[in-house]
Amino acid sequence: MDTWRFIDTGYNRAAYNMAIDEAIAAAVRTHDAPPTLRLYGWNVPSVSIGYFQNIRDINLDYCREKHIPVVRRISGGRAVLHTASEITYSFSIRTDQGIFSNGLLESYRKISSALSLALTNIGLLPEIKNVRGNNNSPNVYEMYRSPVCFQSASFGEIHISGHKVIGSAQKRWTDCLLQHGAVPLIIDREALVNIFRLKQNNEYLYQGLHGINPGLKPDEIKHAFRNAFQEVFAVCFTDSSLLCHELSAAEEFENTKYTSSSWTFRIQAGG
Amino acid sequence: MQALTLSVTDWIIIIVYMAASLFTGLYFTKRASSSVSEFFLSGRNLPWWLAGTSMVATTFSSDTPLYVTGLVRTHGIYENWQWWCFILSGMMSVFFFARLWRRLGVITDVEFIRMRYSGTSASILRGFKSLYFSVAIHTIIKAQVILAMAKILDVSMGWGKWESIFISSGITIAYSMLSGYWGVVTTDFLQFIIAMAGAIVLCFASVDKAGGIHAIREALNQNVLSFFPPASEGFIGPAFLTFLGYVGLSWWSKYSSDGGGVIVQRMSSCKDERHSFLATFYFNIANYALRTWPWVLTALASIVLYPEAKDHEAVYPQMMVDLLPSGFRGLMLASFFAAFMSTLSTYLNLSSAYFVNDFYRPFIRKDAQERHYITISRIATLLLSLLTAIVTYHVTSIIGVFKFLIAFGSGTGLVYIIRWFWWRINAWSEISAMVTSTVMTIVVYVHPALTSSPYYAKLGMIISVSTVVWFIVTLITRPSDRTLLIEFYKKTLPGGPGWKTIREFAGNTNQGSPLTDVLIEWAYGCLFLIGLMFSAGKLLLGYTLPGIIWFILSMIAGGLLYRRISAQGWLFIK
Repeated sequence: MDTWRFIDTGYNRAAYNMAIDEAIAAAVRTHDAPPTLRLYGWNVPSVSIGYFQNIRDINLDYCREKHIPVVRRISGGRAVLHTASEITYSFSIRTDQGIFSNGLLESYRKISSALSLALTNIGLLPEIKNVRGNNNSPNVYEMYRSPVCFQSASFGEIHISGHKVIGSAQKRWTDCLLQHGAVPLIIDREALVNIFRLKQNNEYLYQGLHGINPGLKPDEIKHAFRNAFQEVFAVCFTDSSLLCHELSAAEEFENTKYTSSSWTFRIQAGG
Repeated sequence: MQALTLSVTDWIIIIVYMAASLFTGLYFTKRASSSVSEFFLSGRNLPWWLAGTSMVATTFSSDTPLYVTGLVRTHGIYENWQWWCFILSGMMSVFFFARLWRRLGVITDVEFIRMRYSGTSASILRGFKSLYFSVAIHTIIKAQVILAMAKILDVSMGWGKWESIFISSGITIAYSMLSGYWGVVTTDFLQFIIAMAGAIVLCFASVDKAGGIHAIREALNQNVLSFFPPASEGFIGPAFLTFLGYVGLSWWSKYSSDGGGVIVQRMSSCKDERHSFLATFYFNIANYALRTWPWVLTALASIVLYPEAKDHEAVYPQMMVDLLPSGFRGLMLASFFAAFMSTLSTYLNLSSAYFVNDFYRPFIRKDAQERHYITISRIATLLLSLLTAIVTYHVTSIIGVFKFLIAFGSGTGLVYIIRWFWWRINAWSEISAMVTSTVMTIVVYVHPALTSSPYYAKLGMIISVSTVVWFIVTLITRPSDRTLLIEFYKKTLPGGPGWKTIREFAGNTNQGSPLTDVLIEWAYGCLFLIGLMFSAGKLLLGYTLPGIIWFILSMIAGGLLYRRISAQGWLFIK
């Protein structure tokens, strides 16, 4: 049985969280670290936007007024409002051989099955979305146009009773993948509407886990994620912390990339 | 980064504060010149509130709020257990040691060696510790205090930091040198009020700017707001194990476990043992229940206002620059100077006390007149200040020496506690504990196989090895002279079975307070203080019900404690 690494880094500032994810992926790519599941949180509500996303999708004035940091991810996908009560995961693994070598959709599906098992094990009834679109939506066009991750539906994503509960995005290199995703416990609807300039009637598509079961505890969910990954991928986790060179790489990524305007504002067309 | 702009009002506040400190300090010059006891202990005549305020002012350094801000921002409120764990040793000082130190009637804690141990080993130990504290450790502490103040001024003013430090240090050295301990404690009183006022003003301004306490609560991760570290289901996380290390090991293993030099000097300067007890009790309440929350609330607000700041400690002075209006900036800057000067003055006076009382007087010139020792005390204050200036200037090149010197004494706390309650402890016990803990500290921090061990494992290794060594050394070396032990016992009356042998020789029926009674009082005291601190915190954070529950618990413990204490007598020793 292979041994993978499990790290709970607690909560951190937005730019540092993204920098740690990239530093872990870099260590996995160079064989300095085994495949790694990281769980983490955010010190304050923060917005992450996709690599290809226009920063103008976000109401920056509102974010500045409410002291909400905005960070651009290395992965694609759409924007996420991470609340301080969210559990976020990131998973880094090499893709040049083994079970993750069959392309993006297949890897997405495999990780989704682990996420789905975790939710099942804490008493929820998740379903994995295997087709694009949502027939129950009254406004499918709006849904596809939305800049918000939880307002859109993608292949392999996890739903409960028609509501999206985990939003994920992936970055692939030739030899490695990094997938990270948000598991919100509560949704700050007012902030969402203001940050993403949404119409009020679009809100119903997403749900925090506390909206389904208010009694769920963060530690219980984290434990379920850890066990489900072990079970689905038939591996054993060792509890670990970041390596020294991962910490220094994270610091460098934060300073040179994730806090720089040239990275965050790299796409700002139509302003 | 924006620098602080000061208005005329700000400048007036700062200048008035500096002038008030100087004149308050210098007022006592004549009185301090009458004897060594006046110069270092105010003639043992201080009321509890003045001694207690001086204790809390001294431990409130200019960088303490920055340290707390760093703890809260990087981990959460619960990380304050790093220093909250010293509630347990603080309460031990109150119930076990405040009376004993006052009865002993020493000037410094190092003088304990003269009154408790005999022989050449005791003389060597006293001489070594006096120089170790006065020349090495206190110089390091003073240099750190100065550098912290420089960092604050760097963030807030961005100009003239060394000039400002030169002026404030000059004033502090002047009144410490001329009016001794009188100048120190009276200015401490003024400085503590100013320092707290600044902290409270910044707390209100920052919480208001962040949208109020409820907005802060909603924005922050729940772990940040927790008073205890998260204990994950299924496995105990590193945060929880570190917390167990703090509350299980840290508080009793420090070399200051029976009070420490600063607190002992203030206990000894009180009118009598009742005032010594009350001063230490009041110090602990002010230190934990009162002082904690303005800083913690400010730190919480800072996470909302500066979520992306990487230098967590620098955020505190930065908020002063960004949030305070004219007038309040002057008050806040004065509060930093107050915290800085109160700590510096205490260590200047105490360093001089160690040097003169425990080195110069017993080893260089024994039988001179009081005036001679006061002159030497003033010269020592000045020379040790110059040494601090030199060390501060060269701080980066001697950082390794700092670490080595600090290594002495970590993990020796147990021997300093037990020396009061077991007659068999002698000078060799302390010497062997210090040497072993130093060697072990270096080993666990340098040896490749141990450097990655967590904090609590390192501390556990240091304590266990040094305890085994000093215990064996104690048993194989000769005890102190019996006459000296009888004298010590009669003077201090420590309770418990550890003095049974000496008590029989002394023919003394007074056995002191039974240790079980003192232990119960200590437990009530800890519960009272932790309850009071948590109730204040919960209520300020808007958690009314938990706040009330903690308050009720605290009051029950306080009531039981009051009943026991008020039934006891006091030995009134002048």
